[in-house]
Amino acid sequence: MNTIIETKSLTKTYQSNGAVVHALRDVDLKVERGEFVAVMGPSGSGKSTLLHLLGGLDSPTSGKIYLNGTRVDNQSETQLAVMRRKSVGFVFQFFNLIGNLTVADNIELPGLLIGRPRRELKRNREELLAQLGIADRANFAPARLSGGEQQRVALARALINEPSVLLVDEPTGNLDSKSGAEVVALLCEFHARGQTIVLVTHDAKVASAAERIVFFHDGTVIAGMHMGSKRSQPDIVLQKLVELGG
Amino acid sequence: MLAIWRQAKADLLTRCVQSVLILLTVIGAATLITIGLTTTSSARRPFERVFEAANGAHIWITLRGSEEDIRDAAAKLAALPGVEASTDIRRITIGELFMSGEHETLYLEGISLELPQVARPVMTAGRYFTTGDTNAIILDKNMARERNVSVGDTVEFVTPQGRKPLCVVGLAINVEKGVYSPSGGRSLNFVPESLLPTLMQKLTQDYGQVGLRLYDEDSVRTIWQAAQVAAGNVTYDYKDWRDVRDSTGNLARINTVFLLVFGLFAMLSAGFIIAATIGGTVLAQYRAIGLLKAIGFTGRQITLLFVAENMLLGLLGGVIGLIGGLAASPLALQPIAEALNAPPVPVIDPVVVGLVLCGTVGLTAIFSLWPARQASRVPPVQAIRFGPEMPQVWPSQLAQLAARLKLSAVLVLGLKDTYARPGRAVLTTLSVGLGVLAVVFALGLTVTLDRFIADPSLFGVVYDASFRRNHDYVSDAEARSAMAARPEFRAFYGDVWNTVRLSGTETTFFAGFLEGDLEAFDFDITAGRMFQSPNEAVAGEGLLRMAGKSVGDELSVGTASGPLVLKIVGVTSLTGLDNSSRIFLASMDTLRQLGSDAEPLIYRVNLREDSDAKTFVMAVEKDTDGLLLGEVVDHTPPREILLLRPVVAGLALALSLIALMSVLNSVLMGVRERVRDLATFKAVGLTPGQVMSTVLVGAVALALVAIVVGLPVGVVFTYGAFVGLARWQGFTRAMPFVVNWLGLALVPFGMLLVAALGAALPARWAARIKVVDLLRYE
Repeated sequence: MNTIIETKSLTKTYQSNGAVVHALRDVDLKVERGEFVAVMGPSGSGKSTLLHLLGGLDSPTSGKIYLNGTRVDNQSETQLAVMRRKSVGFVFQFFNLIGNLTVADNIELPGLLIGRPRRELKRNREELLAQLGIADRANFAPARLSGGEQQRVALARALINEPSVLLVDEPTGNLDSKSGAEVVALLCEFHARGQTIVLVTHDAKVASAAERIVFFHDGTVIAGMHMGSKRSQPDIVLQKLVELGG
Repeated sequence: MLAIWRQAKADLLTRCVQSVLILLTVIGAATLITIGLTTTSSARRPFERVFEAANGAHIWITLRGSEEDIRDAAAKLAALPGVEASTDIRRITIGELFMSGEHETLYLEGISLELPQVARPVMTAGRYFTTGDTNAIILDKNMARERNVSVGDTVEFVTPQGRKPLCVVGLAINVEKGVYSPSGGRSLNFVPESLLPTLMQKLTQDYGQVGLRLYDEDSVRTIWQAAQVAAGNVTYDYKDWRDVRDSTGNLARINTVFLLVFGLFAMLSAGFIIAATIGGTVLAQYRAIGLLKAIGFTGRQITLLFVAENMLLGLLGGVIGLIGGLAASPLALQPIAEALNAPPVPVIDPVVVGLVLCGTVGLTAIFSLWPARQASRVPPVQAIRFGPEMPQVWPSQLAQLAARLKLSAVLVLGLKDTYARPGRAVLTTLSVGLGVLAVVFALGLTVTLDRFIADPSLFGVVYDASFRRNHDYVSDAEARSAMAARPEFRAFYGDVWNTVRLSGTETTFFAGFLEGDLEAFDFDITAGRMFQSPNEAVAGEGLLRMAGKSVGDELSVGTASGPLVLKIVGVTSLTGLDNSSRIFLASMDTLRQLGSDAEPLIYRVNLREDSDAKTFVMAVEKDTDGLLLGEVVDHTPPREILLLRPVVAGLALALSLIALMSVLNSVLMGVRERVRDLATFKAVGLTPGQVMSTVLVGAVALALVAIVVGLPVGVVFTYGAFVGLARWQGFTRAMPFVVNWLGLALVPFGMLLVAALGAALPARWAARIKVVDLLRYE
């Protein structure tokens, strides 16, 4: 295993109604290649902020971020965009599909940005859609899909460039339990094939799918937990959360 | 109502950028229309003021006959019922006046030493005649200014006995002949009536005219008929004061027409922006509209809300535009006012005020009605729960083409977005299209005017210089020999112009009878051929229309020498002395067949290549002791036509700015609506520059469509406008339609720049979208 993400003393503060809010305080985190890490914590604990900083969507107030051994916290917005399209895949709670593009276009978009041949992209997209069970939806507008289907499309879009890391933000937050479970199962499936995943959630059941859980509170990591053989046992995660007062 | 008003106020403030854009566009359109309408309604006012100051005659009747016949007829005319007062018999001659080393052909009218009660000159400088003024002249104020002559200067009038010096005692304006212009109408000048016979040409000695002031200013036609009955054949022709008034209004009329047409274009553009904006507002406030309905607003109230908001903007824009237009109107009225020495004060016409305000309010209401009705149909539950429907996924042909051509993903995305909201895209395209049309028209007009200036034969002027012969002193043979003696001389033709009457009617018009080296001149015959023998004629289109004739028909006219039947063999573009195309040209032999001893009075000369017309004219004048007076052809179009260039260029600029605002409005709404999509673009790896490019590409693609449609439509519109303008101005042939290829080639770049500038600001905002902010507040 080698480290794919590393943060050192990562701090993020911002102003809100004149007051300084400490979203992250001196966070040190390492994610190894092929690892599936879930970040858990209550609302406002800083877990989404962490995800945004890791993906280069926001810049830290201080501290360092390394992706694939390259420091990215000091890069320009353009460099970060290029880094994102090549190395990072994002899945959001509200899917964030482009409304006026078809499913196929949405999925192929990141591939087109890095100049991949269209034929190869098409093949990849078809494979992904087949794996995700929505092969027949390629030419649909996103608005015609169910929430679960939209999240699968978002997952396909995030994976089309085979990113180094998949950053997933509350993937089931906007889905019914059945669709949520299916999405989590798909994440596990891709992890099983070697995909590094960082997942943010406040749902213990979802988090229990990961092999390591990092607990956040008030912008700091308060505990870490390797699931090991106890994977898929959300009760243990809940118990830990209660212990931590989360 | 209070609820609607509160909501409307809140809406307008919420989308203040759009409100300001709509307001600015309406103000621009209202200003243009106000200037156009005010100029039209006020154009007559300076003339009417001067007409009252002069106690002008409503009808001038030309009398022809012996001294005694004319005197008897004048007395009968003064006694006609309906005549309030009349002038003395006034005699007019045409002649040459030397001023500041140059000479000018003008009218000279003999007038009593005592200031007349009717049709008196309106003095603008110096004084009227007094007893003892034997060699005095009152010059037309506009000509004096053009020739730089002042009161106290001495000018010389060419008489059979040589040049007679006259002292300028005053400057005046008149309401008899219309306004002087260096390239058009001759000036009317006054000398004491006792002096005139010594200056008069023989040709004009059998004519006199009487001006009648009428109780009913509109009874000119009736009085003319009564005059013919009372004075019989001595009554020769008449001039209606309204024709003179309207001809002075021409100084502003052409510009006014363009102001009105372009103002309507601007209004239409404003309407497009309004419709697009409300469409956008409905989407942006979809949930709010659902909530309004949920708390009790009816569909009709929702419609009223949106229509009222925009009517309010229309009213405000209309009022500001009205004030601006009234303030700017003196600029448009300046040429008339200056010519008539009247203040260029626009008249606040209630009709104009009503038209502008009703126009702006009505148009905003019309354009807001449809999108407002869409808003009224928003289903409240769906609106509150799900918000607006996502735009449909349109199979964009442009995007597909770009993808097939393997163009960059950014370009494909931008193109795909272009027609995501088809209604708005079409409205924006139309706005930009109107801008393209205006620019194409301005270019066409400019290049056509340049062509006219470079090639005066297009005006029907086919010669380089002309000479007027004083027939009492210089014979036809002497004139010909003097011109031919010069080495610059190449060819000439001579002509004499008579007033003829269309048989069976009272309509008179000019006829030119020509002889000389006619084949050496490139007469513009637009149909048929040039006349080749007596009793053949070429006619102007105006005459053909008036007489209902065409090439091949026969035309019967009455001339001073008797009736004449002519076969029309062609159509000419030449115009007559009154600048109209109601003319015909025939051989001088045609007149001679009737027993006339007609000889040319005017000679038109073509010179050899590289000859200097001015040198030639001066040499011939010197050789004939100044009795054959020449004139180098002034190829400059009239000032009011030249003024069209800056006016139309300004209007094209205004419409381009409106197009820019339309693009800005449309792109701004697009960016606001698609802020999440744009953030997602950034999240999946588009750089800020690429996001900006995506937005710009969409705007540029809209402009491209507008250009593709607008260019040909603009060319056709320009052609149609030129044909109409040419007919209106009395040109016999269509104005040559010159295509400014270079200009047309540059139009796409210019309009793409306009679109890019319009989209630049919202594109920058799009590039600066903070993804995390959006995700945080989702």
